[in-house]
Amino acid sequence: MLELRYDPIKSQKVAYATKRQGRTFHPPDDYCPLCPTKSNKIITEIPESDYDIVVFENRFPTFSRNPDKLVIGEANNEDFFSFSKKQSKGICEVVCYTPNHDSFLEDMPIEKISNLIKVWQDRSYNLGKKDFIKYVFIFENKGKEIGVTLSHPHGQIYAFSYIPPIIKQELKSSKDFYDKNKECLHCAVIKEELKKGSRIIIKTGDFIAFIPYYARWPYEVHIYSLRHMGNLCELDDKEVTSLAEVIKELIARYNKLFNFRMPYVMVIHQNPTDNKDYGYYHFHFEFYPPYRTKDKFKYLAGCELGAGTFINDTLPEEKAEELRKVNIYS
Amino acid sequence: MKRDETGLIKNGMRKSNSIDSKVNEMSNKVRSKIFADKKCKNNPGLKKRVITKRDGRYLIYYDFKKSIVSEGTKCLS
Repeated sequence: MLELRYDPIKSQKVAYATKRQGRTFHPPDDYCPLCPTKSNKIITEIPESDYDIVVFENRFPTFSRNPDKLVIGEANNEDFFSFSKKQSKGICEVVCYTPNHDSFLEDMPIEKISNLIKVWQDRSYNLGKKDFIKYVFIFENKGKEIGVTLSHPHGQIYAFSYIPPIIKQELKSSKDFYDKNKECLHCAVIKEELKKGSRIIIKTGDFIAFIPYYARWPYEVHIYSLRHMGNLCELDDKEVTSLAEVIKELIARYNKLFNFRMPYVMVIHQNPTDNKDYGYYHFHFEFYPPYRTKDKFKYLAGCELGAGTFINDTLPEEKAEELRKVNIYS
Repeated sequence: MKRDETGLIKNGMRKSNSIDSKVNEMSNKVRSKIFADKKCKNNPGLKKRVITKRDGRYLIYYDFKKSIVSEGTKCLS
């Protein structure tokens, strides 16, 4: 059953996708559904015996192009909640980065990471141009700690039929700031980070990666293009390569920090695709690794989940210095 | 810039002569472009093949040149 229910108390949608309970859960490597099909005995999601990058519709989606028809309410509108139910329309895709099961994004050569960014651009364009898609959300969950059920290197794309709440909030803040200052809020943040310098991890001619002043997670890093742009698609070839280098270096620094593959959630925030003007918005990446020390997690608990306020036990300036000092070449 | 065998550019805090000027020009650029029409464009150079699976789901193969050195161990090989 797929449906969107509206919570009138918190004014937000909740997606129900009960089929996902049965999704593939930590299969043995020989039965990985994201590997290419190497034998007739084990047919994976990908029929060919090799591939560069593959995108396919998720077998266990949260949203669907053809969602279930809703049974709206009971007779005489007796169902109090019937007003708050909607079809869970959208598209969920899986992006397989490489046929190599034991590899990771950061192990891939710059050229291959650049190719992945080009695929993300292509999906942003082609999903975003569909009438019923208002937002293309690209992300990667990495590591068992994050809840990943398939270890094969992959990411996901959720094409929403609505603008998700965190993006909506960012758009509102960005518009309010622009209306007041006639300047992009994100560019103002970048300028401040460049001026201060203490929270910067990586700086190139085209991109900057930093732990923001207001980071919620100890090692949360945002990557911004120095050039103002609202969408991944606006990157030119040189910027694509530059972004690939920054992503690779950042993850290498994460991995070297505690000498294990750092799990993370990586998200791309870009402008919506509902044909409205979001020129005031600035696309960026956000990384949320769950660790606060080598052997301690940052958990979301009472204050975060129940009150909506993150408590960060660390200072961004100190964590940025740690990441900066990591020697990734030794 | 120098790269090591991993393809990373040395020195995390590397400097670029163009950064300062980019930052200084940023406000003006933003002001002039902020409401410019910056729609996504299709990349006609991408090679892709679309197939439909038995259950109706689509699958897209993105084919890039095979000259890239492969990484790691192949699965199911």
